[in-house]
Amino acid sequence: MRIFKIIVILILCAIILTACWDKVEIEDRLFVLGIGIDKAKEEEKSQPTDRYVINFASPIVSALKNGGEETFSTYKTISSIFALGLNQMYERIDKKLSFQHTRVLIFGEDLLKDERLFREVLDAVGRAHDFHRNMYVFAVPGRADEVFKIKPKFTSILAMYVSGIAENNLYQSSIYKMPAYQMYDNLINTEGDTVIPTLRPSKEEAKVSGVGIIKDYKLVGYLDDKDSETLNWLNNSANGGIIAGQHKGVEVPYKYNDFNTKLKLDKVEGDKIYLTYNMEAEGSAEEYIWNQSLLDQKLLDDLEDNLEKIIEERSKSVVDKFQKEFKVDLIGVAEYLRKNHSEIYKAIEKNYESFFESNIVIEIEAKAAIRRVGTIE
Amino acid sequence: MGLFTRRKMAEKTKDESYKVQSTTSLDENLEKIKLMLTDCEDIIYKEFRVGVEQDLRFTLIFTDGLVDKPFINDSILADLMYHAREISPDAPELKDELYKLVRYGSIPSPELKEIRNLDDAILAILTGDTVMLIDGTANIIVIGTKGWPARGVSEPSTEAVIRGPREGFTETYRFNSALVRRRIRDPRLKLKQMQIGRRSFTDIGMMYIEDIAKPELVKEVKRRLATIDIDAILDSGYIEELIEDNPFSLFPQIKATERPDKVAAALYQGKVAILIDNTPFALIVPATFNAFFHAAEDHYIRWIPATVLRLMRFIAGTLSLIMPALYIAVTSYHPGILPTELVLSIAAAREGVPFPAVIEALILELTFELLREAGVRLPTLIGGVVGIVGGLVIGQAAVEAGIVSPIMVIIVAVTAISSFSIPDYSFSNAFRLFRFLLIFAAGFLGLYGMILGLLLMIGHLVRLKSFGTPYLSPFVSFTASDLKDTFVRLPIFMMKNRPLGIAKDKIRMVNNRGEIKQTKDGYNNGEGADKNDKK
Repeated sequence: MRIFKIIVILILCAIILTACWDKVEIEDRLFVLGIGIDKAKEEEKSQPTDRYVINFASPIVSALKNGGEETFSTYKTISSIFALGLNQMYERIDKKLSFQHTRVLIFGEDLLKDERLFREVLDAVGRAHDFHRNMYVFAVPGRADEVFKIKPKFTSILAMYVSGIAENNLYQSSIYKMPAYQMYDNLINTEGDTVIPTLRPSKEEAKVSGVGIIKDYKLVGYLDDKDSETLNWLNNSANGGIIAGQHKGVEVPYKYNDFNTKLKLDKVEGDKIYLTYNMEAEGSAEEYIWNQSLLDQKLLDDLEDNLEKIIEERSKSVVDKFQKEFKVDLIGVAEYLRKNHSEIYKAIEKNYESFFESNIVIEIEAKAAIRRVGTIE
Repeated sequence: MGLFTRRKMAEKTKDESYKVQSTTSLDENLEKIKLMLTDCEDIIYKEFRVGVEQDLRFTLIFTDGLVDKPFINDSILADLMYHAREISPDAPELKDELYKLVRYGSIPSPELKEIRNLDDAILAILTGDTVMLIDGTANIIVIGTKGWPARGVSEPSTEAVIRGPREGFTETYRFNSALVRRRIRDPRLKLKQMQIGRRSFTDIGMMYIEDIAKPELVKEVKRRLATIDIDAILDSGYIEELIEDNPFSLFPQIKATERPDKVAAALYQGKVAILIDNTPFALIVPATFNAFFHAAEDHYIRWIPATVLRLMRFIAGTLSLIMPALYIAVTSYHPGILPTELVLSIAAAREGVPFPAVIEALILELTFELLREAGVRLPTLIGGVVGIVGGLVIGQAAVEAGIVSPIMVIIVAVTAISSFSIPDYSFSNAFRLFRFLLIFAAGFLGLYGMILGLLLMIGHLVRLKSFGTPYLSPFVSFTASDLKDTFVRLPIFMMKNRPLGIAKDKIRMVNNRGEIKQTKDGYNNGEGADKNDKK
């Protein structure tokens, strides 16, 4: 009997004292699927202290069910503090904001160029417990709120459309995929350096092409889509894509579905460190020219050599860009040295940036294999 | 005070000397019996006289409807009344030896015994036996003439199988014990009989295989049965409640089955079975959590499908327990753990539903339970109609009226289907009730509450015991080799031991499939083929 009393008391405590305080029915939540953050322009400010323009995109749930015209809505708020901006929304909606399903986080160019604002936002998003760590981060050359004016053609919900593009990097490696956790990881490890894929909005669609380079919490430049594919190769995050090659005046697209990169320390000589990226691509020749067999071993060898040259050249040029132009290591050298050769890394850690620029010599060695040549010969 | 006198009475009846002894006078005995059986108008007294001078008096007493009347006519009355006349009429020794002649010579019945007190005689009459009083002797002959309208052996409707024997127990105790005995032709199969019930005198049989069952277990079952002191036992449920370890638990600690093959299998594992008259359900002790998820068929179909089905059953059991609670917890507290698309479609489905998810779940679950309860009592024809009406009301109208969301209907339907896949009715009832508890817990505290509820349940199950065997064995008190017959059912040739936790004699099988070595052409020249031949 005593145990029954205890159980009854426990149950009563649970019911009376807790009283379902954090219970919010699913239909009473407003799922914010996309957030865009811009630096407020002077003419937008309602108060002089306002600094942020925050855009939201949420699905209209009833339209999803009954097939209404508008399946998502966007709304924006202007505020001096990011968290305040989120909370200000409660003055205008009758639901509880839920960020558990936020899929995309979009930064405007102005914000990325303002170190202080960017760091504030990063901290706010990083601290908040209900943001999904898997949401994709994008940078917009221009204003993030442009994205929220898009009416996507194929997908009914804007944020799903954008995050869907990011997931296409399985087939097209020029799309750089950057989930929030990875961005935070980079920022923490490098103290402020990362790449953020760029999202270029137009009227009916957006395009993910190229990446923005963040150095010391500031946007310092962009890479185009070709270079972002190369960056994927260098970082061993490429999954598939097509390399346009040429052979004796014939265009030969090479479709790779496997791309592996391994970084290797060759030698340390004097104050220089020699590293090699070993790249291995496997795939198929997609076209050559009609009525020309591709089953000729010599031709294939030629094609492969050609491809290897292209890969090496492109990689080299991107490496050069990072070393000479941006002077920031976003190609994984520091991470490799830190993990595999920590004593070397420790020695150069202090002055890594300038060391990376001049004293690290990088070689590329590519190996491309054409495994398949198509159906009709 | 009442308890005290009752105990005194109980002691009195156990005392033989308390019983009324018979006398040599037929009239006196008859009068006493008639006095006891006053106003029992289904008792038939057949008085007849034998001998040339018709001076040998007999009386047959039996209960109408419980006896095999043709047998009484042909084998008792005919023999005594006709054949007795053919014997030399006035052999003086006949009179003196009358009792012995009748007892050992005249009645062609296999079941005969003699008693010397009237209480036993009355019990025998009421059991369906025929009592013969003979003038001049105090011995009373009891002739086994039981024979009443009984349901034949038919397929058990609650435990039907596709492959396997289709015999089920009936309401007649003796048939049931025979059905088990047919499966175990072993002199070590013991059947201890007793009668329980101060007024009902219900036949109870305790079966076990002497060298497999642990003697402690047998003794314990016997002891618990002996403690029962009640007026009547109407069904196995009475016994179950009176002897189980924890009657306040939701979970049954004794397995009831209609299948003789299941009883036999349990006996071979070292368990004890209790057969009860007037019910087609036998009880098996000890029963474990694991055993309630097993169907008879598991051992009759091939082991791979059996394993898959069993795993499915365990999954279905889990689903039937937690599905509504999980749904409530996720939709009301933690929508973040679902994929976005699913969240949106759930939110869209719940749009406009006036109740919180927990109330919605309770409404639908209760409706379902009502339908089920209504369907059980109704005749099959009307039951079908209830199903259609209920299905329409739940599935169609309630959704269209916007009272419940279609997703909740799916959840409740899946829960219901899953709960039907638990083979044991009384065990699935436990899950059914616990489901409601979890719904409340999830409604108040979300996933946290659900897990608390499950912890409560597991804590209880870990403590629970069934006749000395931990309820969760072999998962607790871990014996790795006993896992061969749990979530999976290994091939029979791999189950060489009986469950170690229960059986005393552990070796079940010594031969193995290694002896079925095949030559290239698939034959083995009949080596060792005459092993089973009759010599």
